[in-house]
Amino acid sequence: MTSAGARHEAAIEEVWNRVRGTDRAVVVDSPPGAGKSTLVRELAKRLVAVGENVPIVVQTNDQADDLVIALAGVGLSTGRLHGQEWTPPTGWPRTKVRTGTKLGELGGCDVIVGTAAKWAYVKADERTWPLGVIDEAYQMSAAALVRVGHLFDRLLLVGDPGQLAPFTVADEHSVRSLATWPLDTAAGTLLRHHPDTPVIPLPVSWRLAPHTAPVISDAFYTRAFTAGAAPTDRRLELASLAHPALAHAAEHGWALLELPAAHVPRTDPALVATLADLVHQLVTAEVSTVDPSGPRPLNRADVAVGVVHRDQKAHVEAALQRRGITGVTVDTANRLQGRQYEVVLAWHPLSGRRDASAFHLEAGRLCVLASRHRQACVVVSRAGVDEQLHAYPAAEPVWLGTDPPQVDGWEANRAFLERLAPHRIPAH
Amino acid sequence: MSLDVYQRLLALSRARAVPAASRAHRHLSPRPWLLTGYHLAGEPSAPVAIRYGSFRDSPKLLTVAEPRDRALRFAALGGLARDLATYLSRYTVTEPVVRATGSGRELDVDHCCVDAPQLVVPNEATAHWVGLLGQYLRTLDDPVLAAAGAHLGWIASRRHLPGSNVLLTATDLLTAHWRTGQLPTEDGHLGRLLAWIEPPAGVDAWQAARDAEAMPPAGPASDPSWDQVVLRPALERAKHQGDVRRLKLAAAEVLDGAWRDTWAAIDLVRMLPPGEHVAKRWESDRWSWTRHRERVLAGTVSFSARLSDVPAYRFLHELETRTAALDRQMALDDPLVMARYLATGEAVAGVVIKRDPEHTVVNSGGRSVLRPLLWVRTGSAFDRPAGTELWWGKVGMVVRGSTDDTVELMVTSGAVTRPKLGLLPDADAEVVLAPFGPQQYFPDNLPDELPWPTRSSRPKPAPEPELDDDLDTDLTLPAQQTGTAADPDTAPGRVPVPRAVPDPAAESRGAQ
Repeated sequence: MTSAGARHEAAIEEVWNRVRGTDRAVVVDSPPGAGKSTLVRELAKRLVAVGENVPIVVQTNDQADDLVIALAGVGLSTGRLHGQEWTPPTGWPRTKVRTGTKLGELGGCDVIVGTAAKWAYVKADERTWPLGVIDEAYQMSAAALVRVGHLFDRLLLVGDPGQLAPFTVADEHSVRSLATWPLDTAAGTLLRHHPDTPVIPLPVSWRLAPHTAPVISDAFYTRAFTAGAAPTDRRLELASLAHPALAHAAEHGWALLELPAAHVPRTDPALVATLADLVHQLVTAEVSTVDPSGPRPLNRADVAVGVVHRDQKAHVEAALQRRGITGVTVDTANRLQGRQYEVVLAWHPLSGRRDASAFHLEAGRLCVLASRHRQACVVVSRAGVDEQLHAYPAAEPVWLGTDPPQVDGWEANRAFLERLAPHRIPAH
Repeated sequence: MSLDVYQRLLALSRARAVPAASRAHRHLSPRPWLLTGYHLAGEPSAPVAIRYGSFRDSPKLLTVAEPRDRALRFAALGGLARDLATYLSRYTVTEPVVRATGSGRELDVDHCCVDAPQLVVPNEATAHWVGLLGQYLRTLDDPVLAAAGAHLGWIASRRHLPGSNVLLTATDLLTAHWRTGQLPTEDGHLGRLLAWIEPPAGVDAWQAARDAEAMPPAGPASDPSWDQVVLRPALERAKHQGDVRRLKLAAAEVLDGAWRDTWAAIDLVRMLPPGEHVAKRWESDRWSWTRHRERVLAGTVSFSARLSDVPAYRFLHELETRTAALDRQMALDDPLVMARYLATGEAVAGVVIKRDPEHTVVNSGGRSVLRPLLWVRTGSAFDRPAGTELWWGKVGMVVRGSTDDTVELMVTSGAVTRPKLGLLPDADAEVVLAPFGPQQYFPDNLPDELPWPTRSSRPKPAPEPELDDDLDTDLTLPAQQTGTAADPDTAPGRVPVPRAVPDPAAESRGAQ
C-alpha cells in the first residue's frame, strides 16, 4: 500500500473508533475528493453490520440520489425520504431501495437518506436515533441543524470546510443583529458549542492530481492535504490543434485563459462564447483521459462549466444548445459542490467586475470551482483581476459573536491567482 | 442588462428622476402620524425639538428649554406621549376574522384591528432615532412615558421586516418608486431626492439638489453652525430669562422643511394606484398591531435588543419568507417592476401564436397525461435554455426550445386537466411569463427549544438582568445592527394563511 493509502486508512480507522466511542459528536474534515462519499458508505456498512440503523442527512436532492444509488450498490437496504415533487433519476436501483414521503413508508430500511429540509418534517416524538450522519456539514447551515438536531442522540458530521458558506435571500444586516448567527455552518456551530468535539482530517485528495492539489491546499485550506495519485498516473491526450489553453491545461493541470481587460455586464457575451468554444473543442475533438484504469475517450458527462450566477448558467447553457451540445454540466458553484468531473472550465468570479464584493471574493466559491476536476481546470477570466484585488483590499467587517472565517476570501483569491500566473494564456 | 442601471443613466441624462414603479408598493394610511426632530448634538436621548402629528397644517411642536435637564425633558416628552396615545386610540376597533388553526384543518374566529397606526419620518436616521427613543422611554417609571416607549419600540421593530409599512421613511417611499441620477447615498438626503423628482420649474435636478443641500438638514442631527448661531442663544435666553419664544420660533422654522418634504413624499406616492398585494401586506401589520395591543393591555410587552435561541432562527425564516414574497408580489402587481425581470431575461413577454391543448406525454408511471403546448412570439431573442421554468399566473410551464423570435413551452401545472384547460391563454393573447408562480408557504419547522448540537452543554451562567442586555447593545453596536425587537407574532403561522398552503414539498425548495 502507498503511504498516502496508509494515511487515509489510518484516518478512516480513527473515525470508526471515535464513532464507536463515547464522543457525543465527531467531525470529519474532508478536502475535495478525499473519499468522503466512500467514507460515508463504508461507515454505513459497518454500522449496519453491528445492527444499527443509520439515518443520513444530506443537503440536496442530487446528493441524496447519488448516495442512495451508492449505498444500494454495496447491498444496503436503503430508504429514500423525499418530497412530493421528487422523481427518481435515471439509473435508479430496482432492488434494495424503498422510497416514500413519510418515515412510515420506509419501515425495514437499514439506512434512510433524505435532505435536511425533508428531515425537518420528521418529529422527534415519531422516532429518534442513537447516531445520525450529516453529509456536507459545511454546506448545511446552523438554521438547518436546529431543525433536525433533536432527532439524534449523537452525530457524525462529514464535510469539506472549503465549500461555500450558507447564504440567505434576506438582508444580511438584519440577521447580523441576532445574538446567534443562524447562517453559521452546521459543523461550525457544533464545534462552537462543543469545543471538545474531535476533528479528524482526511489527509489525501484522490480526485485532484499531484500538480493541482498543492494549489488548492495552499490557497483554501488550513489543514494541508496532498494528492493520492502519482505524477505519472493521469494524463489528458488532446489532438495537436487544440486551443492553447486546453493544451496547456492538459500538460500542467491548470490554465488561466485571459480575455482583454474590460468592465462588462455579468453575462459577458465574450466569456460565454469562449466557454462554449472550449466545450465544443473538448467534446468534438478526439480527447482521451488516461488514468491507472487505462485510457478512454472523454465524454460529455466528464466535462463541466462552473459559473458564478444563475444568469451566467442560463447564457452558457443556451450557447451550448445553439451549438448542438447537450449533456455537459453547466452550473453555479453552489450546485457543483460535492461533484467531480475530468475537466472543468471555470468562470472566474471577479472577471470583468468593477468591484470585489464579499460575494465574489468568497473563498469557498473559487475553491469549489477550482477543485471539481480530476485532470485539468481552465479558469476563464477578463484580465485585470489582480489590479481589482489590490484596488479593493479586504474590508469585511468584524462581526461580534461569530467565528472569523478559517480562510480569508481576499487572501485566498490573491494566493490562487499568484499560483496560476505561470499558466496564464492570453486570448486573441 | 439591468433596468435599474438603465434608469439611473436615463435620469442622469435627463437631469430628472425616472419612474421605477407604476403602482404604490407601500401602504399609505389616510391619517399617518409624522415625526421630524432634532436632538442635541451627540446626545440622542436629549431631544431639542420635535414636530409631530397627523395634521399637515397644524403640527404639534415639542421643545425642551434645557435638553440636558431630565425633568424638563420628561415633561416635554410626556406631552408627545399623550398625543401619541390619543392617535393610537383611534386604532382599537376590531372585526371578527375566520382563520385556520393548528394543522390548517380547523377554523377559528379571531379578532383583528380594522386598521393600524402608521408613523412616517423623513429619513432612515430619524427612523433609527425613533427606535432609540422607544428603548429609552420604555425603561422609565413614568407609566405614560413607558407606554409610549413600548409603542415606539413595536413601531421601530417592524422596520426590519420587508413589506411592513408601520414605520415608513420618506426617502424609502421615494426610492422605491423613482430612480435618480445621483449616488444611492445621496438618495438618503430627502431634500436632494425630492429635487430630482420634482425640481422647481426652470431648474435642473443638479441645481435643485444643490439648493436643497443648503437647506437645514432633516435631522435628527442638526447643522453645527445652526447650533452655534441660532440654537445656543435661544437656549440661553430660555434658560436665563425663561423666554422660550425664540427657541420655539427657531425650531418651527428649522423643522418646517423636513415636515413639508415628508408630506410631499406621501403626496407623490399617493398619486400612484396601490399595488394589489399592498392591502395583504398591511393585513399582517394589522395582526401585529392587534397582538401588540393585547400584550400592552395584559402588561406582557417585552423586548430584547438582540434575538437569540429559537426566536433568532424564527426571525431568519420570517425575513427570508417576506423578502421572497415582497419581490414576487411587487413584480406581479406592477408592469414596470416586472420589466426589470424582462430586461434581465428572467421573464418573457410576447404573443401566443399557436396552442396545442391536446398534447400529451407519457409519465414515469406509463400513463398518458395532458401537457398542453404553447408557442409564444417574443419581441426580442430569448436567451434562456430549454428546461427553464416560467409561470403565467397559476399556470406553470417549462421551455422546450426556442428560435430567434419564438419560444415553445409545455404546460406542466395549473392547466393540465380537461376542466382547467380554459385557464390557458388564448391564441393571440399578449402574455408576460414570470419567473415565479403562486406563492408557497412553508412552515418554519422549528423546535420549541434548541437541540443539543446548537447549544452549549456547559451550564448556563446566571441570567443577566434584562436591562443590561438592552443598554449594552444600544451603546456598542453601529446603527444598522441595533434595535431588532422580539416580535413573536410576526411568525407566519400567526397570521391568517390561505387554506391551500401547507405544502410539505419543502424539499424541492430547501435543496435549491
